[in-house]
Amino acid sequence: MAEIRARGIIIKQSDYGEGHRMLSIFTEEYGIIKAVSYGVKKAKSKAAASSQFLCYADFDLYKGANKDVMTVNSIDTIDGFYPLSEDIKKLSLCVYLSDITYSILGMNNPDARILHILLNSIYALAYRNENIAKVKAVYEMKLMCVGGYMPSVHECASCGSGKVFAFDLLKGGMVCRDCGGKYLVKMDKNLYRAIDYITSCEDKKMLSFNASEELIKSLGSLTEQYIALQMDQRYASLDYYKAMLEM
Amino acid sequence: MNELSRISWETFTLTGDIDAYLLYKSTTEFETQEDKDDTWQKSGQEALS
Ligand SMILES: [Zn+2]
Repeated sequence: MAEIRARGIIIKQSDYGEGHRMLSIFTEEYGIIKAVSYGVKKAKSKAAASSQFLCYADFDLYKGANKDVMTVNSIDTIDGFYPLSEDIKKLSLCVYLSDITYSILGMNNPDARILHILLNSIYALAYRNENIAKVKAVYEMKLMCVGGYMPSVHECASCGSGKVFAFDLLKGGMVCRDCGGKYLVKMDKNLYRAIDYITSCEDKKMLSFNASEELIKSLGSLTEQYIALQMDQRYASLDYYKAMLEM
Repeated sequence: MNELSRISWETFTLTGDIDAYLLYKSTTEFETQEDKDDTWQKSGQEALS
Protein backbone atom coordinates (compact mmCIF):
# COMPACT_ATOMS: atom_id res chain seq x y z
CA MET A 1 0.00 0.00 0.00
CA ALA A 2 1.57 3.23 -1.04
CA GLU A 3 0.97 6.63 -2.47
CA ILE A 4 3.06 7.49 -5.45
CA ARG A 5 3.48 10.50 -7.70
CA ALA A 6 4.22 10.06 -11.36
CA ARG A 7 4.44 12.28 -14.42
CA GLY A 8 2.91 10.97 -17.59
CA ILE A 9 0.35 11.12 -20.35
CA ILE A 10 -2.99 9.32 -20.58
CA ILE A 11 -2.77 7.08 -23.64
CA LYS A 12 -6.08 5.30 -23.21
CA GLN A 13 -9.36 5.87 -21.41
CA SER A 14 -12.44 3.77 -21.11
CA ASP A 15 -15.60 3.82 -19.03
CA TYR A 16 -15.38 1.68 -15.94
CA GLY A 17 -18.42 0.71 -13.95
CA GLU A 18 -20.91 3.38 -12.96
CA GLY A 19 -19.40 6.76 -13.70
CA HIS A 20 -15.75 5.83 -13.33
CA ARG A 21 -12.96 5.76 -15.82
CA MET A 22 -10.11 3.34 -16.42
CA LEU A 23 -6.95 5.07 -17.61
CA SER A 24 -3.74 3.80 -19.13
CA ILE A 25 -1.05 6.30 -18.22
CA PHE A 26 2.40 6.24 -19.79
CA THR A 27 4.54 7.51 -16.95
CA GLU A 28 8.14 8.54 -16.80
CA GLU A 29 8.79 6.56 -13.63
CA TYR A 30 6.76 3.35 -14.00
CA GLY A 31 6.13 2.90 -17.70
CA ILE A 32 2.56 2.27 -18.80
CA ILE A 33 0.27 1.73 -15.81
CA LYS A 34 -3.45 1.31 -15.31
CA ALA A 35 -5.37 3.48 -12.88
CA VAL A 36 -9.03 4.05 -12.07
CA SER A 37 -10.32 7.57 -11.78
CA TYR A 38 -13.47 7.39 -9.63
CA GLY A 39 -16.52 9.51 -10.03
CA VAL A 40 -15.42 11.34 -13.16
CA LYS A 41 -19.01 11.70 -14.31
CA LYS A 42 -20.08 13.69 -11.29
CA ALA A 43 -20.61 17.33 -12.14
CA LYS A 44 -18.28 18.53 -9.43
CA SER A 45 -15.53 16.04 -10.11
CA LYS A 46 -12.22 17.82 -10.36
CA ALA A 47 -10.61 14.79 -11.93
CA ALA A 48 -13.15 14.68 -14.77
CA ALA A 49 -11.61 17.38 -16.91
CA SER A 50 -8.17 15.86 -16.47
CA SER A 51 -9.03 12.19 -16.87
CA GLN A 52 -8.95 12.61 -20.63
CA PHE A 53 -7.02 10.99 -23.43
CA LEU A 54 -3.67 12.80 -23.99
CA CYS A 55 -3.71 14.71 -20.73
CA TYR A 56 -0.07 15.17 -19.70
CA ALA A 57 0.10 15.65 -15.97
CA ASP A 58 1.50 14.89 -12.57
CA PHE A 59 -0.59 12.11 -11.10
CA ASP A 60 -1.03 11.29 -7.43
CA LEU A 61 -1.82 7.62 -7.33
CA TYR A 62 -2.65 5.13 -4.69
CA LYS A 63 -1.34 1.63 -5.00
CA GLY A 64 -3.55 -0.74 -3.10
CA ALA A 65 -3.90 -4.47 -2.80
CA ASN A 66 -4.48 -4.86 -6.51
CA LYS A 67 -0.99 -4.59 -7.91
CA ASP A 68 -2.10 -4.11 -11.48
CA VAL A 69 -4.52 -1.24 -11.09
CA MET A 70 -3.91 1.93 -9.11
CA THR A 71 -6.35 4.59 -7.98
CA VAL A 72 -6.09 8.20 -9.07
CA ASN A 73 -6.11 10.61 -6.12
CA SER A 74 -5.46 13.80 -8.02
CA ILE A 75 -4.25 15.06 -11.36
CA ASP A 76 -2.17 18.18 -11.87
CA THR A 77 -2.42 18.97 -15.57
CA ILE A 78 0.69 20.26 -17.33
CA ASP A 79 -0.67 20.20 -20.87
CA GLY A 80 -3.95 18.82 -22.19
CA PHE A 81 -2.94 19.17 -25.86
CA TYR A 82 -6.40 20.62 -26.34
CA PRO A 83 -6.06 21.59 -30.03
CA LEU A 84 -6.05 17.85 -30.77
CA SER A 85 -9.51 17.32 -29.31
CA GLU A 86 -10.99 19.27 -32.20
CA ASP A 87 -9.25 17.34 -34.94
CA ILE A 88 -10.51 13.81 -35.44
CA LYS A 89 -7.70 12.92 -37.87
CA LYS A 90 -4.96 13.91 -35.47
CA LEU A 91 -6.83 12.40 -32.56
CA SER A 92 -7.25 9.06 -34.31
CA LEU A 93 -3.56 9.11 -35.22
CA CYS A 94 -2.74 9.60 -31.53
CA VAL A 95 -4.85 6.55 -30.67
CA TYR A 96 -2.79 4.51 -33.14
CA LEU A 97 0.53 5.94 -31.87
CA SER A 98 -0.55 4.99 -28.34
CA ASP A 99 -1.44 1.49 -29.52
CA ILE A 100 1.90 0.78 -31.15
CA THR A 101 3.69 2.25 -28.13
CA TYR A 102 1.84 -0.17 -25.86
CA SER A 103 2.56 -3.07 -28.17
CA ILE A 104 6.31 -2.35 -28.12
CA LEU A 105 6.54 -1.57 -24.44
CA GLY A 106 3.87 -3.56 -22.61
CA MET A 107 2.89 -2.70 -19.04
CA ASN A 108 5.10 -1.48 -16.21
CA ASN A 109 8.19 -1.07 -18.33
CA PRO A 110 9.60 2.46 -17.98
CA ASP A 111 11.26 4.00 -21.02
CA ALA A 112 11.81 7.74 -20.83
CA ARG A 113 13.17 7.93 -24.36
CA ILE A 114 10.03 6.47 -25.88
CA LEU A 115 7.85 8.69 -23.70
CA HIS A 116 9.76 11.73 -24.94
CA ILE A 117 9.51 10.88 -28.65
CA LEU A 118 5.80 10.23 -28.17
CA LEU A 119 5.38 13.60 -26.45
CA ASN A 120 7.38 15.30 -29.19
CA SER A 121 5.13 13.78 -31.83
CA ILE A 122 1.95 14.76 -30.01
CA TYR A 123 3.34 18.24 -29.46
CA ALA A 124 4.15 18.59 -33.16
CA LEU A 125 0.59 17.57 -34.04
CA ALA A 126 -1.02 19.88 -31.50
CA TYR A 127 1.01 23.04 -31.85
CA ARG A 128 3.21 22.97 -34.93
CA ASN A 129 0.85 22.02 -37.67
CA GLU A 130 3.35 19.37 -38.73
CA ASN A 131 2.29 17.10 -41.60
CA ILE A 132 0.22 14.39 -39.95
CA ALA A 133 1.45 11.54 -42.21
CA LYS A 134 5.04 12.60 -41.60
CA VAL A 135 4.57 12.48 -37.82
CA LYS A 136 3.07 9.01 -38.16
CA ALA A 137 5.89 7.62 -40.32
CA VAL A 138 8.68 9.18 -38.29
CA TYR A 139 7.24 8.07 -34.96
CA GLU A 140 6.76 4.53 -36.27
CA MET A 141 10.39 4.34 -37.36
CA LYS A 142 11.87 6.03 -34.30
CA LEU A 143 9.75 3.93 -31.96
CA MET A 144 11.07 0.78 -33.60
CA CYS A 145 14.66 2.05 -33.30
CA VAL A 146 14.36 2.93 -29.63
CA GLY A 147 12.17 -0.06 -28.79
CA GLY A 148 14.75 -2.65 -29.82
CA TYR A 149 13.94 -3.08 -33.51
CA MET A 150 16.59 -0.81 -34.99
CA PRO A 151 16.79 -1.68 -38.68
CA SER A 152 20.14 -2.39 -40.22
CA VAL A 153 20.82 0.48 -42.62
CA HIS A 154 24.41 0.24 -43.84
CA GLU A 155 24.88 -3.48 -43.99
CA CYS A 156 22.87 -6.55 -44.85
CA ALA A 157 20.54 -7.39 -41.96
CA SER A 158 21.03 -11.07 -42.65
CA CYS A 159 24.68 -11.72 -43.58
CA GLY A 160 26.33 -8.43 -42.66
CA SER A 161 27.69 -7.79 -46.14
CA GLY A 162 28.32 -4.20 -47.21
CA LYS A 163 26.26 -4.66 -50.35
CA VAL A 164 22.63 -3.74 -49.89
CA PHE A 165 19.83 -3.12 -52.34
CA ALA A 166 16.45 -3.18 -50.68
CA PHE A 167 14.71 -3.01 -47.31
CA ASP A 168 13.51 -6.36 -46.05
CA LEU A 169 10.56 -5.76 -43.73
CA LEU A 170 10.79 -9.17 -42.12
CA LYS A 171 14.56 -9.43 -41.77
CA GLY A 172 14.62 -5.97 -40.27
CA GLY A 173 16.60 -3.70 -42.53
CA MET A 174 18.59 -3.43 -45.70
CA VAL A 175 19.63 -6.69 -47.32
CA CYS A 176 21.95 -7.84 -50.08
CA ARG A 177 20.71 -9.56 -53.23
CA ASP A 178 21.47 -13.02 -51.84
CA CYS A 179 19.56 -12.52 -48.61
CA GLY A 180 16.46 -10.66 -49.82
CA GLY A 181 13.24 -12.42 -48.87
CA LYS A 182 9.59 -11.98 -49.70
CA TYR A 183 8.93 -8.62 -48.09
CA LEU A 184 11.20 -6.26 -49.98
CA VAL A 185 10.84 -2.53 -50.45
CA LYS A 186 13.01 -1.06 -53.16
CA MET A 187 14.95 2.03 -52.23
CA ASP A 188 15.03 5.29 -54.04
CA LYS A 189 17.41 8.07 -53.10
CA ASN A 190 15.08 10.06 -50.90
CA LEU A 191 13.55 7.10 -49.13
CA TYR A 192 16.92 5.63 -48.25
CA ARG A 193 18.25 9.00 -47.11
CA ALA A 194 15.19 9.54 -44.94
CA ILE A 195 15.54 6.13 -43.28
CA ASP A 196 19.23 6.80 -42.78
CA TYR A 197 18.38 10.17 -41.21
CA ILE A 198 15.59 9.04 -38.88
CA THR A 199 17.46 6.01 -37.59
CA SER A 200 20.57 8.01 -36.75
CA CYS A 201 19.39 11.51 -35.79
CA GLU A 202 18.96 12.83 -32.27
CA ASP A 203 15.48 12.07 -30.96
CA LYS A 204 14.47 15.71 -30.71
CA LYS A 205 15.41 16.31 -34.35
CA MET A 206 13.48 13.40 -35.75
CA LEU A 207 10.97 15.65 -37.52
CA SER A 208 13.49 18.28 -38.62
CA PHE A 209 13.78 17.38 -42.26
CA ASN A 210 12.00 18.39 -45.42
CA ALA A 211 10.03 15.73 -47.21
CA SER A 212 7.79 15.74 -50.23
CA GLU A 213 4.30 14.24 -50.06
CA GLU A 214 5.55 11.41 -52.22
CA LEU A 215 8.44 10.60 -49.89
CA ILE A 216 6.17 10.68 -46.84
CA LYS A 217 3.84 8.28 -48.58
CA SER A 218 6.50 5.71 -49.41
CA LEU A 219 8.15 6.11 -46.02
CA GLY A 220 4.83 5.71 -44.19
CA SER A 221 3.96 2.62 -46.14
CA LEU A 222 7.31 1.06 -45.24
CA THR A 223 7.21 1.98 -41.55
CA GLU A 224 3.66 0.79 -40.92
CA GLN A 225 4.35 -2.53 -42.61
CA TYR A 226 7.63 -2.84 -40.73
CA ILE A 227 5.85 -2.48 -37.38
CA ALA A 228 2.94 -4.74 -38.30
CA LEU A 229 5.25 -7.51 -39.54
CA GLN A 230 7.76 -7.27 -36.72
CA MET A 231 5.06 -7.17 -34.05
CA ASP A 232 2.95 -9.67 -35.97
CA GLN A 233 -0.10 -7.57 -35.29
CA ARG A 234 -2.84 -5.79 -37.13
CA TYR A 235 -3.90 -2.50 -35.57
CA ALA A 236 -7.58 -1.63 -35.78
CA SER A 237 -6.68 1.93 -34.82
CA LEU A 238 -4.58 2.19 -37.98
CA ASP A 239 -7.58 1.25 -40.10
CA TYR A 240 -9.67 3.76 -38.19
CA TYR A 241 -7.09 6.51 -38.73
CA LYS A 242 -7.04 5.76 -42.46
CA ALA A 243 -10.82 5.85 -42.61
CA MET A 244 -10.75 9.26 -40.90
CA LEU A 245 -8.26 10.55 -43.46
CA GLU A 246 -10.68 9.78 -46.23
CA MET A 247 -13.53 11.73 -44.75
CA MET B 1 22.98 17.25 -58.33
CA ASN B 2 26.61 17.12 -59.34
CA GLU B 3 28.27 14.45 -61.40
CA LEU B 4 29.94 12.69 -58.49
CA SER B 5 26.74 12.27 -56.55
CA ARG B 6 24.91 11.07 -59.66
CA ILE B 7 27.57 8.49 -60.42
CA SER B 8 27.88 7.34 -56.85
CA TRP B 9 24.13 6.84 -56.53
CA GLU B 10 24.02 4.95 -59.82
CA THR B 11 26.88 2.78 -58.67
CA PHE B 12 25.04 2.08 -55.46
CA THR B 13 21.84 1.06 -57.24
CA LEU B 14 23.79 -1.20 -59.59
CA THR B 15 26.15 -2.83 -57.12
CA GLY B 16 24.49 -2.25 -53.76
CA ASP B 17 27.91 -1.18 -52.51
CA ILE B 18 27.38 0.75 -49.30
CA ASP B 19 30.58 2.74 -49.86
CA ALA B 20 29.05 4.15 -53.02
CA TYR B 21 26.01 5.19 -51.01
CA LEU B 22 28.16 6.81 -48.34
CA LEU B 23 30.02 8.70 -51.05
CA TYR B 24 26.71 9.80 -52.53
CA LYS B 25 25.60 10.87 -49.07
CA SER B 26 28.72 12.95 -48.54
CA THR B 27 28.22 14.79 -51.82
CA THR B 28 24.62 15.78 -51.31
CA GLU B 29 22.75 17.77 -48.73
CA PHE B 30 19.79 16.09 -47.09
CA GLU B 31 17.37 18.91 -46.43
CA THR B 32 17.14 19.30 -42.72
CA GLN B 33 15.40 22.14 -40.98
CA GLU B 34 16.88 24.54 -38.50
CA ASP B 35 16.28 23.48 -34.95
CA LYS B 36 13.37 25.73 -34.18
CA ASP B 37 13.40 25.26 -30.44
CA ASP B 38 9.97 23.89 -30.77
CA THR B 39 10.04 20.37 -29.51
CA TRP B 40 8.06 19.41 -26.48
CA GLN B 41 11.22 19.40 -24.34
CA LYS B 42 11.70 23.08 -24.95
CA SER B 43 8.12 24.18 -24.90
CA GLY B 44 8.47 25.95 -21.61
CA GLN B 45 7.95 22.77 -19.70
CA GLU B 46 10.68 21.14 -17.74
CA ALA B 47 13.38 19.56 -19.82
CA LEU B 48 13.51 15.97 -18.78
CA SER B 49 16.18 14.69 -21.06
ZN1 LIG C 1 23.15 -10.66 -47.07
